[in-house]
Amino acid sequence: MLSVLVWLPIIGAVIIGLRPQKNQARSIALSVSFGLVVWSFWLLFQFSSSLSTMQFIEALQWVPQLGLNYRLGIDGLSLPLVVLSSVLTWVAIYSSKREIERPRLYYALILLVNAGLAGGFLVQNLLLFALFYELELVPIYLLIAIWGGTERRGYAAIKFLTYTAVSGFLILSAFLGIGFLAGSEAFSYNPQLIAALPIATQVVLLSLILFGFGIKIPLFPLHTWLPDAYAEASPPVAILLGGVLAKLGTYGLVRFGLNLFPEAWHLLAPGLAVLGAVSAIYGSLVALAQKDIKLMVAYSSIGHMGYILLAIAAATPLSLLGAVLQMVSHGLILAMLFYLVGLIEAKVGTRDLDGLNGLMNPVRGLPLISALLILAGMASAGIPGLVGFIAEFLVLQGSFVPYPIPTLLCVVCSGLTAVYFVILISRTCFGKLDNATAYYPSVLWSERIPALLLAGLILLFGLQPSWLTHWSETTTTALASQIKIAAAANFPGDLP
Amino acid sequence: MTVTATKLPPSKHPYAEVIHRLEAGGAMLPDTPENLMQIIGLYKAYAVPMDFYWRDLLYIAERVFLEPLPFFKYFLPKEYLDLPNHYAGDTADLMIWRGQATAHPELLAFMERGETGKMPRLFHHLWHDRINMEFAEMCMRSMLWHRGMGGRFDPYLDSEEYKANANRAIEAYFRGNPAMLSLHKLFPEMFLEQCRQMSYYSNLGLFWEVMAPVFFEMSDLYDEGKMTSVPQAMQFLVNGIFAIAGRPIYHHVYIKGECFEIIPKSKGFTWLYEAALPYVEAVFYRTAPFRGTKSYNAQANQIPADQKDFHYGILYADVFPVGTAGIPPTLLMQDMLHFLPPYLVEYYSKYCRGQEDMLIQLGVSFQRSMFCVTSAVIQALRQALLYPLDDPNPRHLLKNRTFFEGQMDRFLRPEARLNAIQNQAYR
Amino acid sequence: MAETFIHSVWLIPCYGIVGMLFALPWFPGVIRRTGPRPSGYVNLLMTLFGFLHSLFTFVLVWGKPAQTESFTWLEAANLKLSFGFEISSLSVGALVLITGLNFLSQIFAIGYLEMDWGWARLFALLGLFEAGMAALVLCDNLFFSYCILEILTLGTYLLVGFWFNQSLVVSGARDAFLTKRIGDLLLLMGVIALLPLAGSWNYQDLARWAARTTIDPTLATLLGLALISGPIGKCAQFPLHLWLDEAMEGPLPATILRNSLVVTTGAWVLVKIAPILALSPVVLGTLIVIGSISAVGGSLIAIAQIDIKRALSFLVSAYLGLVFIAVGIGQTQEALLLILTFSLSMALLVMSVGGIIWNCMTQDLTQFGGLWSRRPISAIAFLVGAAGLVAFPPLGSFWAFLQLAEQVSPWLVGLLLLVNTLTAFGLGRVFGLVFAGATHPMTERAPEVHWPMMVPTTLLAGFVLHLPIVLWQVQLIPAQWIDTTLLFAIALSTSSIFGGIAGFRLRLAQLPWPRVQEMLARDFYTGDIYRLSVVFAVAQISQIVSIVDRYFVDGLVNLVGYFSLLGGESLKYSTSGRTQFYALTILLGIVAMGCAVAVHF
Repeated sequence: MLSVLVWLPIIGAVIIGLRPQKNQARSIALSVSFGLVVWSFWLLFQFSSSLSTMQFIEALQWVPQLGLNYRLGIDGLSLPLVVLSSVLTWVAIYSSKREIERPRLYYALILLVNAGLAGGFLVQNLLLFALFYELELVPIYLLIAIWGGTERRGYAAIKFLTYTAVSGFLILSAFLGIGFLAGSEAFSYNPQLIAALPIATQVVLLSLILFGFGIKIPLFPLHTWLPDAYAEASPPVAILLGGVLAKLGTYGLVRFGLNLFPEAWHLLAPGLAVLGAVSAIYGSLVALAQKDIKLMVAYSSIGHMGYILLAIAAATPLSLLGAVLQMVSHGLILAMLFYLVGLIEAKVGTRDLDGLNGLMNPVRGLPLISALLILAGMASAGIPGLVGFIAEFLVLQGSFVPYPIPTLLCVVCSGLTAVYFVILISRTCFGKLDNATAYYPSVLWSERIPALLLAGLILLFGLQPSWLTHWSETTTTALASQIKIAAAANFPGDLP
Repeated sequence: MTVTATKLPPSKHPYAEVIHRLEAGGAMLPDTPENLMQIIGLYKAYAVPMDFYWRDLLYIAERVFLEPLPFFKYFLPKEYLDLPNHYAGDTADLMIWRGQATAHPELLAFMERGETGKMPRLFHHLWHDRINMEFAEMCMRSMLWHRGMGGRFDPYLDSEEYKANANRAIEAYFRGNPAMLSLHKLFPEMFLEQCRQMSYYSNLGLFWEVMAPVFFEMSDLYDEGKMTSVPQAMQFLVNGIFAIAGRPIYHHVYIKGECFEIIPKSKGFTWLYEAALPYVEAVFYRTAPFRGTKSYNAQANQIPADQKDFHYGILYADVFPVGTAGIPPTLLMQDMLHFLPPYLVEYYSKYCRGQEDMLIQLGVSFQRSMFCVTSAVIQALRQALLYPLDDPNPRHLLKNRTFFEGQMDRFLRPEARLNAIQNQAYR
Repeated sequence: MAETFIHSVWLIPCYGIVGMLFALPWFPGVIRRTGPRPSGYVNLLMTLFGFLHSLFTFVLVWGKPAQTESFTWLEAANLKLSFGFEISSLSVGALVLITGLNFLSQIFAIGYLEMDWGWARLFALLGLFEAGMAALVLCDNLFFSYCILEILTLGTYLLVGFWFNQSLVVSGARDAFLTKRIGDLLLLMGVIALLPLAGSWNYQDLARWAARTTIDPTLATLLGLALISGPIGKCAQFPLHLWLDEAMEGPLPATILRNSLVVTTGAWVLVKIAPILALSPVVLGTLIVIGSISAVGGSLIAIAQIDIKRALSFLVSAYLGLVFIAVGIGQTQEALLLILTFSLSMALLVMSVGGIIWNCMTQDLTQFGGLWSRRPISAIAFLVGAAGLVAFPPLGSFWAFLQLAEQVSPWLVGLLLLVNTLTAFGLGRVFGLVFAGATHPMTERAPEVHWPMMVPTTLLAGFVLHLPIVLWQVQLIPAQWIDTTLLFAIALSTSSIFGGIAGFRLRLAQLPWPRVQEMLARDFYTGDIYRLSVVFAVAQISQIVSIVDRYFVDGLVNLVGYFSLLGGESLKYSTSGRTQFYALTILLGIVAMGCAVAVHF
């Protein structure tokens, strides 16, 4: 069952690669990814939300000597992310330009990214995770390098590759270290074996993992590949990058950081909470100074990732649930923002804040796109009624008791987010169209569909968040209690 | 090419090109077939709702009068739909233009079916599938509010004679309504001011009664292939202006079958000086700042303190915000949208967003056509006050030039659209 | 039947939302061939339903104890969020006020914006405001109150931004949103901090908790200060008052609602959380100080405004300052009474002025004059509104002032008298400048406007005149007078009459002292101070951080990468290098795996 999510896109990619007709590539990719969306929703309804353990487990011995098992499973943490990844892949494929160059390679690569993502979220083996983690790296590199925006795309792509390769290398070394020190059984996800290691060793291994995923997420100060990569990537790739790929990092942080090293995590958590708040404020401040709306959105991502780090550091039931929600909501909102920014660039021909004006004009502007941009910006700024708010709120409420000051700093960050999004909206959507230049082509209904779909989800989960929390609650609560027990056992003085 | 070019040195005015064109008997709008098609098409589209405007304005001025709750003032009775136009049809006072005396068939068809289909009139009204009288009323208010534009009509409204006439009508209108009568006793100026507004309803109605058949005639001539250039169209308007200049402007009110002549025809107010010129000044040039584009904040000083410095009319307006909130002319554009001739719809479909942004495209065409009308008014004024264009005396030609330059000075403001309409790509 | 009516009170906020949804088809691009007016009519109808529903319910619940109902919205981890309704005569009375005033301002909008093509947006947002405010007064939970306040902040942004082509509208909407958001986020901090302490956000629970808690005074102060920040922003109180001035760029029908009701949402929440605020004397003191500054400052600034809308809008800050003072001294009943009388009178004043602005084409007080004889209805409506706003017996605010004066210390009585005099002076000045004196070119031709504006104005004027009877019937007017009452009554009435007549007689378009005029007209230079301090600082810091990010952090991390990866950076620019680098990574991975295997076996 789960294998379908991993192998179907790979098979799809192979078919696209083998078939000579270029014009079929898009429709094949679309149908494959639609199949994946249907399949992941089917999983969603088969999933039993009252269990905190892995479900739908599939296991195959592969290289037993290495401890390399093909073992897939899903729980409340990975489930929403798998669904998110399927949905956003569909959005990315749908929103790709119809007359794109070298379509077969392009769509095959996107499907491969999807396979890598699904594999990353599903595998229950450390080495296999590392493999998938590296697997999605190459296609993304090519997607940026070949179909990227300006002449800087080569630089951006290689920078992305360098950073992420280092990230993969750090993670792989940590995993190998785990296997080396705790025995190869530890590869198949075995926290007990790791708990037996000396705490200092655990801290070293956890630090490697933190650095590795910290680059991926990215967290300050490891984020500098992000503005280049996000800005140069074409909108569909940016959607994948910011919407789901970054979530592989936060997912890894929970799965392989918090879950595998609860004791070491407890030691490092205060620092991480502060780092999360710093990341949030830093990202917002840099976003505020940008003139390019795509860069603004890109930097907003660093800010929001800060919340997630804070929530994972706090590791209370509420904050972890908030973290999962924030991953999903950020995925939806960022994807929508990138999509809209891409659409505006395609129609108006610029992303420059000084060159954009008056897009709300109902006759000659992009009124619906502007309205959706306002919605997405406000969702990102955490206005209640939209999914961004409830996610942020759970994070903040959950993290307040353990880390009050970083939490309040994150509220400040929320204010700054409002500032730059209001600037963005006021400058692009409000104002008057220029009589000399404002002869923009109109937006087709087919181009509005992805944005409307995402807007619908953002609104739906904002008004009815229990449809989202429902799936993850048991898992995150179990995770939180696990770290509480570990902390209480090792540092009895720390907890009330 | 031009007669004057040989006699006078070229003008140094920033709009020298336009001035030379005017001196050659042309319009401010360049003479191109595309321009001609746009302006004639727009005259047609404008004339149909205008046929409704003037009838309804007269209906309000003459029948609705001071009704405090005029819920149905836009529901024209048959009597006014059939009201014979004084300048069209078999009963016309002056037969220069063809066309019928009663309401135009396209207008009647629109009132019957609208854009949504056949429904009782009330539903059409509630669904906003109707002619937007509100903008016509705004033009009327502009004429009322802007004063000192020449003419004797406006000063007459403050005369004792007018007050006495109005008072008689007011008292007759509210006879049997002690509440209103006592209110009138208490605040005699209140209904009087309303009555002045009604007189302007009548004024504008009588003005447009003439314009509608003129525009229909131009459209017909164009369709018949008899109108082939922009200067020809302008000259047609100039001739029309002179033909009709003496038409009386009056205000009659019918109360319970009795006619009250608040402004009798015998006062001798004439069409050109009491309606046309104030209209052009108040509506084409001045009007009022749109709330959607200008701040009324007194501390921001975006609006000039002197009414003379107002310049928000169609000759200056930015058409791109049409269709947005706070842009009153949208109502007129929407009215014209229903009656565009097919050749214009086809033309618009080829440019910009085609049918989707036709509202703005027709707005730009409307701007062009109003520049043509303004040209006609300028030429008519020149003809009335100054010298012929082919006058052999260079001193006279210089006077003409000074006059034209003075008129063009009004378009030196940065927001004037005179430059924009010289360019065909502005659409 | 009666029970059904009472229990379906939750429908009242829904009417607004339904109206809003009905307006959607007239958003651009859907219905293009016909106009947007139906969206307005539908919203008007829905508001009428809401008004009738709340009116019937009000009759039914009058004098009965409050009922509550709730349903669970979200239950996650250890957090349970239930949306609760409190159905009491107070909350349903507030519903009547909200739906009634919204109904009148929507009719007004039909007239005022008869030539506007943005009806769908306007009426949808008015519907949103009605729904938001109705939900707020029913809501018995601080968390949801916060959510509603935030949504209304967004609503203000969109409503002020209605005429988005105009540059001052754009900056006004932006500033309104950001200023309110600052307050809202501080409130959010308070909301978040409150839960671990009190264990609930339900107002009754909070009151019970506040009655027996023994929390640290510093904590209580910090908490209280965070909680009052939201209302400070909403109520346009010093130092977050500037947005209301800029929000005057929005359409006038929305101003009616904003100046009278939307601003008071903050005060409503303030009244609800009063028990928590009472935990800290510092917080109560802050309320009184902020309220006093806003009251005196607002009424002074109003006197120097030459823009007619702003001359009224600063009075809003002033009156809500008085409400703050009332809450600060623990008189929540008086605060609510003042909100009631204030909102009706203020709505009437804005309506009266709106009709005049509409066809005089100016908001500049120096360009008005001599309208009394031709526009007596507007003039009388203005007089009624002014008399209802200041302490002028027997109209509404007089009783609110009187009850407040009885409760406060002598210096606050002085403050009340001062604010009342200044307000009366300011209103007298506006009345004099607009209606008396010689005509100005802008007012030479100014007939009364048409019925959609005059009818709501007249109706509201009638209601303001009859308000004392209503107050008397619901026993909000004191039955017996204590010794000092008469003294206060005389002092208040005298100050109103004196102030009003002085303002009218002097009729100063500008104060005779240019410096003072300039300072007050520019709102004590608050806007400039903000521009030079907070705005400048944030802009500079973000620029610096951005530069640091681009040239320092990036460079440093790249440098580290350079050394650790043996020149990976140098590979960046060569095309062939990329492929090599790939091979290198993948090779490294395989080698590492191989090593692992080798070590083990």
